[in-house]
Amino acid sequence: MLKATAISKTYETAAGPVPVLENVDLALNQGEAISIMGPSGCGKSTLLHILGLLDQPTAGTYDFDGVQPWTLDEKEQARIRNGKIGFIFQDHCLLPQCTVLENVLAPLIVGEHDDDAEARARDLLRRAGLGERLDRFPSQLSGGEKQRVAIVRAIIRKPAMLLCDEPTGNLDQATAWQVLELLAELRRELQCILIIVTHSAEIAAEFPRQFSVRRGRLVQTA
Amino acid sequence: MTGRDLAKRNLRHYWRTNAAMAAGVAIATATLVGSSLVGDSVRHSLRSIAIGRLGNAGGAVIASQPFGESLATRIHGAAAPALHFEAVLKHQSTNRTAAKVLVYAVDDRFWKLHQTANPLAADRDIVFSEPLARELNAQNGEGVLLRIEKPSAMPQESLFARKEQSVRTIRFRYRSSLPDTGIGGFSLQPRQGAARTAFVRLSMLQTEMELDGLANLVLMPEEARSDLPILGHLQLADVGLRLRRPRGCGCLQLESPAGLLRDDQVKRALDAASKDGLRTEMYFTYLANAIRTPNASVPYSLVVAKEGVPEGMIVLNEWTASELEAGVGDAVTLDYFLWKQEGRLLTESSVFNVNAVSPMAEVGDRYMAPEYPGISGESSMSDWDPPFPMDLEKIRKQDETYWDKYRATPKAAISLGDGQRLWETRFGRVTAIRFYRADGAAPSLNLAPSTDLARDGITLLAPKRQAEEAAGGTTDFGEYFGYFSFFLTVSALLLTSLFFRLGIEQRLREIGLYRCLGFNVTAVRRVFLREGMIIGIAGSLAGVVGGAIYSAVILYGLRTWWSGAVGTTSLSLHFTAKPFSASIIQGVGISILVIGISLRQLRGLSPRQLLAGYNRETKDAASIWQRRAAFGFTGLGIGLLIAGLTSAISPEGGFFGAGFCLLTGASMFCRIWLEQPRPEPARTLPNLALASAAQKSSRSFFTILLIALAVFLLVALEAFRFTPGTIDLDKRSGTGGFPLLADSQWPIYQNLNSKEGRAALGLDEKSLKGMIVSSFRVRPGEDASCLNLYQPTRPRIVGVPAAFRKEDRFRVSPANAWELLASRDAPAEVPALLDANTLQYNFHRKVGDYIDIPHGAESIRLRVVGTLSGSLFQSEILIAEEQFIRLFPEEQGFRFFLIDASDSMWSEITAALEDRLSDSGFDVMPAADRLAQYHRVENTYLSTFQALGALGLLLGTVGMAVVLLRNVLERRRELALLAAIGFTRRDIAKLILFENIALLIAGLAIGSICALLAVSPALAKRSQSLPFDSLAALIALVVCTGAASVWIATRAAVRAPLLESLRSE
Repeated sequence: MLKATAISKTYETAAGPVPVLENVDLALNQGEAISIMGPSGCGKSTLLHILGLLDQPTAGTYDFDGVQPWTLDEKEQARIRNGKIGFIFQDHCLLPQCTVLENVLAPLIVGEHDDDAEARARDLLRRAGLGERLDRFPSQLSGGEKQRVAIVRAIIRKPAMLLCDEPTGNLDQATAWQVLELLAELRRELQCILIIVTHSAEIAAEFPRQFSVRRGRLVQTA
Repeated sequence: MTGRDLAKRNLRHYWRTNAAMAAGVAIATATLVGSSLVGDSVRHSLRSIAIGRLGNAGGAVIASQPFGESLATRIHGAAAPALHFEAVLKHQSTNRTAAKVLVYAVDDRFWKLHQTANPLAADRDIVFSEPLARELNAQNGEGVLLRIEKPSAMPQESLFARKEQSVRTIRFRYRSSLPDTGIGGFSLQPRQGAARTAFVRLSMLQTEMELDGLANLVLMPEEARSDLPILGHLQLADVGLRLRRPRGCGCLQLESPAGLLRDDQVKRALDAASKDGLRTEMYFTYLANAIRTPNASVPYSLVVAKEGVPEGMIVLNEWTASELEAGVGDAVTLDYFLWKQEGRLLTESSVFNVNAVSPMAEVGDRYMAPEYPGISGESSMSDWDPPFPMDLEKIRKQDETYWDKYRATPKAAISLGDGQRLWETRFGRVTAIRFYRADGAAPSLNLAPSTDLARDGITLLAPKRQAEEAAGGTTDFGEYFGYFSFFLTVSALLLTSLFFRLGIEQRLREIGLYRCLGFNVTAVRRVFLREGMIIGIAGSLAGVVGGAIYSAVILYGLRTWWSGAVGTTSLSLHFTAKPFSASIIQGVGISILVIGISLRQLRGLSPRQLLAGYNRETKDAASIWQRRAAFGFTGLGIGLLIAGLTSAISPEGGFFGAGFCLLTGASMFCRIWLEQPRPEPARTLPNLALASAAQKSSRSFFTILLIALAVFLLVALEAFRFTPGTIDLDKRSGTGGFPLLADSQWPIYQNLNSKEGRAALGLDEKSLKGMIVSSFRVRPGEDASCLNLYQPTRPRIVGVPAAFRKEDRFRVSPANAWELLASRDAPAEVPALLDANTLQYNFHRKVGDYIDIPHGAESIRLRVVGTLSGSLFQSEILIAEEQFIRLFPEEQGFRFFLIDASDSMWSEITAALEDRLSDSGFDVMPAADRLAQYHRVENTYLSTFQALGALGLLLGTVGMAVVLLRNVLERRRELALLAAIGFTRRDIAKLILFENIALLIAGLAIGSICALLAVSPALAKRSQSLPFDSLAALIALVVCTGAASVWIATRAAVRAPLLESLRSE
């Protein structure tokens, strides 16, 4: 389903080029879930961004669901992000001006029309414990609630891949586990690829395959 | 949720930024709408004033000499005849005087034409316009003296006409006043100021002025489309011709009350006679002071020049020959006066040989000579009162006997050719033509009164059409407000753009999120454009209201504080649909433009960069395109400056275009300098402040440009301000080196530089010691200067004498402009000079262009051959005096004077001239005061436009304050860190102050320098020095205003607790 080969990423700065990733290889099948750990600035988020078509690699090839997205134009890439990839960020990244329900339905403003989306959103939010908060704004939610909204939003289009960049980084431990449980439950239903970037060894250990980024290289640690 | 729903959410959530954007759009729209409304309102007001004061008069016929009032009825059944003059009014009780009052003597037909009740109940009633009534403070029933010059049938500049004004004083009783917005302010020439008009009964004035049955104006409900209807209705008397049958000659005699027949009249008469098969005899009768031989002299004798006498010979009648004891072959001398057009009386003599001595009847009869005022009607020679010196001692008994018996029978005859050579003037060289039938029967002559209205001093006017054209105005306020509002509009756009950019920076992560969610670039743009449309509509609707308020305030200002610029308080707001409908489009367009340009900044940023809040500000040194753009704008600005200087483009285009480009280029260079890598680490507060400014270089650029735009406008306008200084007596200055000038309501015919002329006017030589006067002929007309808001269609024209042109006074362009006035290269064109300001701003023309002036039924084509720079001739057009005399023979005498004298004599000369010549309405003023009048108007215009600059400064300081507060907000953690490492609040405040004061000073410097560059070509042309004092004061004001704004914002910014923001990590 996903195959990244010899992915490299170098940033150009005034002080000269700064390599972040070097020859990263990764292959995942449908339904697989992995964790990636590493110190701050090691490039793990960069890898996530490249896999999620948020950033372009300097070198390497990337196949996702039968296509090479980095050879497509911006519109096609946007369509892939809209329909096949879900993102969950450390700081949830909700639209402050939209309600909970509207945040979840935001991906449906563009792309293919889906008549069932709203009903599905309500159901998912109910399952996430937010059934009574559909018309609340992000500023009226707790950190955990916001992250749950972000999770529901990320899966509303039934993506083929979920990318989570430190989804529990700003949460206390109890809330973090609640969020992770929800994430795991929903991922199981979707049978989508899940890649989670985390600082927490405890969280990372929950995944069958574990990787870390060291000196720009992806190394499987478990 | 749909895209529309998202847009609504966004609008509500980011209401502060959106409101700021809408405010920017509103300001930009308001200035555009307001400028358009101001222009439309001024035009509408001028039109209303002019049309209102015309009543129902759609057409008019005016004449320099009165004609029969029955012409009115023959032209049009509803026409109204009138006499119209300029007069001096004096209130008997208070002695208050009003000069140059328009007096209309009318009858019931006038009031009927205008559908107004006749307010003149009794013969001696006089009615004023309301402003005139206030000026004289007249009350109902009080006595008013009207002083009017009686027109003379005889040309004033001919020998036989009286040179002193025949001014009649007539007593009237003030009855009531009429509002000057309607018929009460009746005027055929549009004037925006208060109308000073008076009405009396036509019959009353006709009787008092001995003009029974005569008028010099006909008003008609419609415009006359051609001269044919008028020509067809004229009678001989209307054009100053008369046919009579002298007793005993069996002939018909054509003559004129003017005493002379014009060459064209003679030609037409001869042609008519030829067609009718009549024989003609032409006569030129003249008065000789003496006919003398070495031993004898006959005084004050009429001599006739006629055909049939050999050249150089004289035929004496028997009486004269006997008195002179002269016979055939004897030499006889004629002594006679000549009146020269420069206002001198000369005595000349010519010698003839006696050809024959003939019986009296063969030489001539008493009916040949014209009626000479003061001569023809007198019963004895000693009662003669001619308009030239006469020595009554020379009259003998036999001369009286001759007069008693033979009256004006000529005593001698010379050849017609000799007579014309000696005595001809521009008014004619034939005094009478006689027509005879071959069979001796009484002849009749089929003679058309006129074929050329202009030559007969008759002009057709279309006052309503001319008022409509004139109301287009010389000064298009809308246009000039639009030009100067351009900078304000750009400032508003910059501010709008600045606010939007700040908003975009605030929403970078949101945009990144949209991209994450699968919104492509177009979809993201659509989200913002939807918001932009609504912001644009809201902003433009607010702008429309703002524009209406803005224009109302401007018009209020023009009526009150700045009334000196417009000379009227009758300007009112007039709404037209055009600005409103355009404003919505403009407002939406502005929003979309600003959003489109701002979003382009995000082009090429990946979703990751957007999520990370990447800001292109945080980059390295300025890109190549920025440098190219900076050079490009600067180069274009310099190019436009040069183009404006060389008149390749209009001065306005050069000034505004060059100004904007130089400002932008200089600001861009400033930004590039800021973005340069620093050679050393910042070790001082000022260096640290500059580093902060460099970090947000595009915000700094906007702030600098905002301030620079406002300063540019303020400084550029102030640079043009005239400051009253010392009197400049340089020949090349605006006064031409003359300390005094004078206007005379009625013409002066004498030469003010000659002893005889001064004596004739009763002037004391001692009180005029050292005075040299340059006298100018004037054809009265509309003021062509900035004092008149209307486009002059019949401007005042001044004839410049050849001697004056040789003095090379005033700054003229080209250098030989005075010589070019005399050019006759193109006979159909008349070379003219105008003041550069008048030519450019009032006529919208340049050197080489043409100005057509209505004359008769046609027009005179003036060709502009040069300009004067900042002169006191801004109210008129100058042509050569020779051309003036040819074109306007009916305008005689001098009405405008430039007086040269030593400064110790100025007051004495002024008093002497005004005292002795008050009957002519002679008014002396310092020449510098005339210039000051124009400068006051210009300065007032500058003040109105500077108000826009002040608004721009307000926008600039608001923008600077907003950017400052936003920067502090974003840098709170940075500032908190400084506090943590030991910076006091004072140090932090200084840091922020240094940063923003540097931006203020940069904007001030760029704005000032670019302004001075942009105005330098125009200033050089005007040879005007900079008003350094007021410029320095203005710059100080800008510094204080900006610094105050920065200080207030800084205080607010550093008051908030800073260290807490460190704890949020």
